[in-house]
Amino acid sequence: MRWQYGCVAMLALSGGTGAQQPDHGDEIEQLRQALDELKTQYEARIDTLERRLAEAEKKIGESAEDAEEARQQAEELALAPRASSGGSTSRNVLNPEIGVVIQATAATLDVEAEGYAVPGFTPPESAGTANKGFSLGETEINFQTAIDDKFYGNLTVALEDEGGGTEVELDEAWFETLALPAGLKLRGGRFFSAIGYLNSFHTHADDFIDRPLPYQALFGKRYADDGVQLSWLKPIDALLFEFGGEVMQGDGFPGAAGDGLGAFTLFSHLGGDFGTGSSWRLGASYLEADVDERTLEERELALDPSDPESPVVADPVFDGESRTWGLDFVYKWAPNGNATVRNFVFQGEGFVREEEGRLAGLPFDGEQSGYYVQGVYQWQPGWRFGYRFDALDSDNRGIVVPGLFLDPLGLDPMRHSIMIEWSNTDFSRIRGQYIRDESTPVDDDQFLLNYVLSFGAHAAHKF
Amino acid sequence: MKTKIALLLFAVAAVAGPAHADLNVFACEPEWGALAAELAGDTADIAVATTAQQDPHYIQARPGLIARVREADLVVCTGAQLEIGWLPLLLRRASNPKVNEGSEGHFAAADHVRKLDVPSTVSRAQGDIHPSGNPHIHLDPRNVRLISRALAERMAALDPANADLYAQRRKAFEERWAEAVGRWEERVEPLEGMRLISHHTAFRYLAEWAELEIVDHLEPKPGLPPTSGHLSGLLDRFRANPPVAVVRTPYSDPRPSQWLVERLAVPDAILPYTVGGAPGADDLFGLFEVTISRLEQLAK
Repeated sequence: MRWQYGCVAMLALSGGTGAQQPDHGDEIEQLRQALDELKTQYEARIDTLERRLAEAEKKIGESAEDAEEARQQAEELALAPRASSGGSTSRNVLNPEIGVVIQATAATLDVEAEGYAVPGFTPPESAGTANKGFSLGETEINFQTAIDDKFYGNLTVALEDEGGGTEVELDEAWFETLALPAGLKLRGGRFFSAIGYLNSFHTHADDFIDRPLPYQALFGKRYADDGVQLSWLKPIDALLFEFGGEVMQGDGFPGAAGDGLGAFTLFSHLGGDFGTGSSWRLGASYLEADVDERTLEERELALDPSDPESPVVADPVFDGESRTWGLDFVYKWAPNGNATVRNFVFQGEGFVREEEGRLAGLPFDGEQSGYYVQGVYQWQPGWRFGYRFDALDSDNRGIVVPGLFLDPLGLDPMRHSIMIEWSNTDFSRIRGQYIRDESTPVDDDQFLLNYVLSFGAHAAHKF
Repeated sequence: MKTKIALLLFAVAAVAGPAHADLNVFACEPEWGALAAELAGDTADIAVATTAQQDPHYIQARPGLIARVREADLVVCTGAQLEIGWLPLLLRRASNPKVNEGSEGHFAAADHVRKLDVPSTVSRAQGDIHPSGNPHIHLDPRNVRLISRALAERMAALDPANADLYAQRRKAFEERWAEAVGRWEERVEPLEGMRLISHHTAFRYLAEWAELEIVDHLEPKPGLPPTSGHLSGLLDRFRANPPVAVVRTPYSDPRPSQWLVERLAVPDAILPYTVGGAPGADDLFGLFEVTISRLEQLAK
């Protein structure tokens, strides 16, 4: 703008001088030229200035864009994960998950756990509800981890008091495959068989303090052995079908084999959901064992009960075949599938076993069966209540002698149990249980109090 | 005879061919299901393991979930130990090498953003602690943008035939998201410093982004159910200076909130928390719209 004022002023000046001094034409011409020169010079300089101004303005715009970009980058940087400072060089990072479970039970009962027997059944040593008074039960140490991209490993060691000393027992030591194609999975080592529903759970994960009668009497808490397991998983739409089998050494009760590969199992599961609130699983299983010299320890068998002087067979031995069929189901419900506040679990299992062979050298043909049903309801976070009914039935022929342990004594062994549990977190549970035990000739009212505390690796919520 | 019956019981194997999409996605939580849907559209078949009514910390490895993981090409989860109680078991049971941890088909959203409240010491005495920090990352919309980029890249790597589609959809989503976040940031500005008591630490990232002040939690320690002792302690502390509201997720037990709001005379507010958590929160955009509207109502 300034050059316009300048020009106007100069034109006025030149007009003025022209009017005053018309005869000084040359001078005026010179002045005019000088003015024109000045004007051109000014215009050029002003042009340059304007150009620079425009450039500067453009630059400001660009730097605002830069600033916005920088702000976004800073935001991303602020939100991006921080690389661990220096990186951990500790060798502990790759340690397996370690979990420890400690538990103890206090019980008032009349039945002695030692020599636990239900009339008509021949449970192994490991059977039994709880010890009188205080007992620690199984203290468990578990290690598990992915070994590499193809294998997963698990080791569970149980420490148990046994006759004054502490016994270390290798509960489980197995690997399984992580990357077999077509839904196949192979497991090998020592493991809890996949038959039934409760069988593959550790007892501390059970809803009730003790295992139900069919497990006690037919497996001595569970069926476990050394062997291999192959399973096949096949989704059918939203349903899950699983089929598998195990070949076992045959040492685990009801088996007993000196020469190996003495038992095999088959199992099958079908499971799915009803809406978002409920899910279910149905299972069927079969176990066959070649029994070779299974000793019923600490039991005596009178060969002729009518004769008090009859010869007695101590620790009678069974040789023959043992077959067990099982059916199981579990149904879980929670409002909207949100089990944290309220939930309900209903489950049941039944097993039938047939054994044929020779007991203490004499023919024996036994049929033994048992089942349980239970429901457990969580009515508010941390609090659960449950009821269980379990019963046994036996029909043994052959060497069975009236009044002795393979005689059911006209009894229908059964129990009613109620349980109440408080758990502070997933890691701590305290339970009380009342059992009306009518499984032995002496009816017994039993009260149990138990805690299960686990520390270390997070417990998995297995279905 | 009985052996035959037993064998018959096992002979149930039916073979039904499931519908095959280009990419089978298994999302642990609804927010990741919704994000996967934004990025893949109909190209992917998306199964979501949980609903907004379920606490994602506590899910069981149900048969139906195992079946879906078995079929998945890509598992999209939060990570940061949110699913520690069920996802590892689910993956192991499903024995699907494509989605095992460490495989390309295993996407943990929390790996792509910075976690808040990473504890310097870790002990279970601190409650159900997450050693890698608070895992409820999706309620900061800026995190969603970062995760959408990483997820789109992962989808393209797994399904190269549709790589262009994922890139395009990602770009379109990011543009819409940036525009929406701009609007939301204006709306939350007046809410700055709003005082809330929260049931769980579920809204940590929302508070960080919107600059809300979460003054305390109903849970005495993260993940531990509220106790009456802790609640009456809160009542004593906040009686004189009550917060604007007590907020909780749709899956939280309503009783502790209801007990406290009655005595403090403040609203009991359910924020949608995730997609599907309230009418209108049908996708990620709706989730933030409804959340901010609720907060605005509370501020009135």
